Amino acid sequence: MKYLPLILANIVRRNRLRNSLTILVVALAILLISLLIGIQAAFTSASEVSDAARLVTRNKVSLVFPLPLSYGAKISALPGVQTVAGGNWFQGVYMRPENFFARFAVQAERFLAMYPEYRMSAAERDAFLRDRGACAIGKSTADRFGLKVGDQIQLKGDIYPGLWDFTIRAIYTVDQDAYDDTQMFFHWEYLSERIAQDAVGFFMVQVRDPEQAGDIAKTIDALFENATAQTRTETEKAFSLSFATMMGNVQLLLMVIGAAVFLAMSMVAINTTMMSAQERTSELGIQRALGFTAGTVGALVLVESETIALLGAALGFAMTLGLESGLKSALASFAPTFHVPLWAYAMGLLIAIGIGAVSGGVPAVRAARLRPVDALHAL
Amino acid sequence: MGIVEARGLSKDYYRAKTRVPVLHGVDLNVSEGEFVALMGPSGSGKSTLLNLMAGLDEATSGTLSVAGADLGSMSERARTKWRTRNIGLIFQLYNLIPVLNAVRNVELPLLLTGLGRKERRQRAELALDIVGLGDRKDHYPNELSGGQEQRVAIARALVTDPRILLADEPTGDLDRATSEEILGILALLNDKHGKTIVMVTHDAAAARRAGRRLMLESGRVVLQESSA
Repeated sequence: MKYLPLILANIVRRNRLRNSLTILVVALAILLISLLIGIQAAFTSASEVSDAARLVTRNKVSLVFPLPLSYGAKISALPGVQTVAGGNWFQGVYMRPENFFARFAVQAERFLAMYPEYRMSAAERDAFLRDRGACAIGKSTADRFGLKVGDQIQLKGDIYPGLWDFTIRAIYTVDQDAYDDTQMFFHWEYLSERIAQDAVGFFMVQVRDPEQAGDIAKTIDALFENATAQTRTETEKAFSLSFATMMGNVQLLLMVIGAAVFLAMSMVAINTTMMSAQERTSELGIQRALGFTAGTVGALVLVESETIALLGAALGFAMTLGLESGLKSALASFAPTFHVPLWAYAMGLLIAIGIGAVSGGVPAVRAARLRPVDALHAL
Repeated sequence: MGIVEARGLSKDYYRAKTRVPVLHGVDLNVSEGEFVALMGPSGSGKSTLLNLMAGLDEATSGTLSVAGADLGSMSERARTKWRTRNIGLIFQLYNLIPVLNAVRNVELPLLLTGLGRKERRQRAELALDIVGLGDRKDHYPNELSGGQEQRVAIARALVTDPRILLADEPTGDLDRATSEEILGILALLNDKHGKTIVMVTHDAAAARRAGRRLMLESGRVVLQESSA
C-alpha cells in the first residue's frame, strides 16, 4: 500500500492521454470479447437447455418438406411416447422484414404441456387455447414492439401467402436467459384450415423416460422407413445443434474477426504500456540507486501495468453492462437469447490480467535486471 | 579507522571486449565527519570511485570498506539494502521523480524502511525544512528552479539520516549564486549535522568548501591537500 501513491502518480500524472487511451483500448478489447462470448452462447444456448425427454421428428430429406399429420397419431401410439405436438415454421413479416422474431404454428395445448419453461398465467393460457385466432408471444417481443394482451397483430405471409390476423391472448416469460422469449406461437389448426393442408413441418415428441429417447427415435424412423415421407428423429438438443451448425460459418467468421480485432487491441495496449516503462529506464535506475531492490522495482512496474489493465477491464465491464440490454434488442432477430454470461466477465478479468502481465512483464524483468550504475551512466 | 577505507582499489571496464582500466590501486581514507572533494579531469575515475563507495558498482580488485561494511564481500542485494541505511546520493541532474511532488520525492527512500506513513511524512518535511524548502513541499519538480530541485534532492539524500553523503557534481548544472547556496547547505550538513561528505567536482571554487581535496588523474590519486 505504501507504494500506491507512486503507482497512481505514474498512471495519473504521466502521459495522461496515452494511459487513458491504453485503458480505453483494454476496455474495448474486454467489451469485444464479452460480446463475442455472449453471441457464441446465444447460438448454443438452445441446445444447452434442451429437454432430454423431447425429440424432434422431421422429414428425412429436409426440414422444408412436410410430414403427414397422420404420423402424429402413429407416433403417439408407440410405447414410451407421452405427448406429440405437430408444428410448422411460419416465418412471415410483421410490419417490416427487420422486425424478425421466430413464428410457429403449433398444436397448442399439447405443445404448451411439453414446454413448461414458457410461463404464462392460467387465465392467459386458457384464453389462448380457446381462441383459434389467438397467439402467444414472448415478453421480449412484447416489450420490443410495445404489444400487450388483447392487441391485434397482422403478419404478411411469405411461405404461406396472404395477410394473417392474430389476437394476442398470452405473453409468456422465461426464467433463464438461455430460453428464448422472443417467439410467437399460434394454433396450427388456424394455419391448416386456411391452407387446407393436413401436413406439419415437424413433430415434437415427449417421451416418458429420457434414457429411452434414443431407442424411441430409432423406432419412429423405422416406423416410416417404407413410407413416402421418411422421417428423421433426433433429440431436441441435436436438432438445436444442427441449427447452430447451419449458423456455423457466420459464427466462425464472427469469432475470427473478433479474435483478430481483440488481438490487435491487446497488442496496442501491450505496446504502449511497454513503451511507457521503457521511457523511464533512467528513473528506474535512480530508484535502484536510492535503494529499491531489483525485485521491488520490477514489481512496481508490473503492478502499474496490471493496474492500467484492470482499470481497462473495469471500464470494459461497465460498457458491457451498459450495452447489453440495448444489444439484446438489436440482436433479437439474430441471436434472440443473447446475454453476456457471468463467466465472460471472469474470462475478461483473466484476459486483462494477462494483458497486464505481458505488457508489464518484459519491462519489469528489464527493470529488475537494470544495474543502477548503467542507468546513471545513461543519464 | 576511517568511515571510508580503500586499499589498492582498481576498476576496469570492458568496451567491446577491450579492457579499459579506470582506477589503478587507489588508496584512500576518509574520516567520519570529513568533507572531501574529489577533483580531476574527465575520465580520471572520480565518478567511478564515488560509485564504488556507494556500492553501485564492484571493484575489480582491492578492498573497500565504507561505514564498516566490506563492500567487496557483499552481494548486490545486500549492498542495495546497506546503501538505503548508510548512503545519501546527490546527482548532478537532481534526478527527481517528475510525477511526485517535493515531499513525496523526499519520502521515496523512506518507503524502503519500516516507518509508518505519518513518520515518513514528518521526516520528509523536516528534511525539506533543513534545506529551506519547507514552503515548497507540494510543488512538483517542473514548478521548481534548478537550485530548488537540487535542494529537494539533498533533502532526499539526507532523509534516511545516512552516515555519508556522496555528491556527484552537485553544482555542475547550476549558476554560481545557486551553486554557493547548495555548497552552503552541504557545508551546514557537514558542520552542524556531522555528515561525512564526499563530493565529486570539476569546480575549484566548490572544492575549496571541502576540508580536503583529492586530485585524481588517470585513475590514481596524485595530490591531496587540506584546507588550513
